[in-house]
Amino acid sequence: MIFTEYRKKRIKDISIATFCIIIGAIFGIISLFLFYFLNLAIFGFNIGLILSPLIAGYVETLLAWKIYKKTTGAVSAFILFIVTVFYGFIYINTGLGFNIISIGSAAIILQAAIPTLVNYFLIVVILGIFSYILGIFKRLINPIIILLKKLYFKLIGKEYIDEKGIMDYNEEKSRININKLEVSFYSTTKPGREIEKIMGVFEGKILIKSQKKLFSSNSLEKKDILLANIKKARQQALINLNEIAKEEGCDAIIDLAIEFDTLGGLTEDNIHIVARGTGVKLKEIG
Amino acid sequence: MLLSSTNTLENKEILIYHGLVTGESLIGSNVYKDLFSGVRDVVGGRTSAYENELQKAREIALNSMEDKAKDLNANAIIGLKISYNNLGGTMGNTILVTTYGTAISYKK
Repeated sequence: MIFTEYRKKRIKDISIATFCIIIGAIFGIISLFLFYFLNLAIFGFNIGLILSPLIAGYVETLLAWKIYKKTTGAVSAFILFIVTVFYGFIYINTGLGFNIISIGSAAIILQAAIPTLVNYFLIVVILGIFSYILGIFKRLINPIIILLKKLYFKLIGKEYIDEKGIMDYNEEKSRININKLEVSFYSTTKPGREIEKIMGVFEGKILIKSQKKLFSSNSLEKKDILLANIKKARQQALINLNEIAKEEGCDAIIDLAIEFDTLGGLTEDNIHIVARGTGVKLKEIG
Repeated sequence: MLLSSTNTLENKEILIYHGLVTGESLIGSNVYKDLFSGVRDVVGGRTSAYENELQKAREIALNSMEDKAKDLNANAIIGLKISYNNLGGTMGNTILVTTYGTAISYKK
């Protein structure tokens, strides 16, 4: 019973509001017609294009206030705004063509009238579609880029470090043995054989990126990936050090130190790994 | 497995230098652990939660390194270095424990 009463009242309110909006819109259209009929223009610009929406809104608000002591939000002003824009700027404008200036002007007019909706459309819908298309493109092109990178690293004899992917470190490890490289590494200052010549200090470096997310779905997996990447990167830093030392004619690197530094950022950390040591030439055995 | 941070083993004869062996482990960030750790810092207590985690990470790194030395038939690691690195940056703490040394075989 109460519900029916409520519904009845609601229907009555909606009817009054609709009536007020329609009357306001009619007044606005009539005023627009009069403005054009009387040609009330300033520098060729008919003031009806500005005043008619105001008249419509005023009549609607006045009527609504008189009938049920409430405003209806001047909806007719908005309707008149669309009508005037459509009529005044588009329909009777013979110079208007389908070009970028016309479309841009229309977009600015719409933006002024309904900023939230237009901004939502511009920022969320258009950018969303654009980023989605880019995402599909990236997903398609990414495996090709990674394949080319791996090929390039293979050609220059270095190991490719995947930034984010899950890696099976044990599988990778079997391929490179840092103790079977041309240059031997020692964390001590004595390499086991007599030193013939000290060649200088050498460094092998690598920088890896670690993506950061505020909410991670699987932190354990993330930790494993990071650790695997660090292991591989350290391996690569040693390989790089081997290459540099080999070029300089070193047989061994003594007093080896491996340093890890984080160069932080807001969305990612860059982990800088440096393998540093003293390159030496060893005396031949016997 | 004998571990030493020295360059050589005093009064021992080194027979073979096998090469470099490494080990590593990570401690991930834990909001609650960090929070309580901070509280303990303020009141001047020992941050046992972190201590235990660091100890565990250190052991993992050392064990991993020792396993590699055993694979090379070494019986000692000399020139041992252990380092703790904070990879946290701006989003929390991730501590990397790294160990490395030279695997050798010495005459017992």
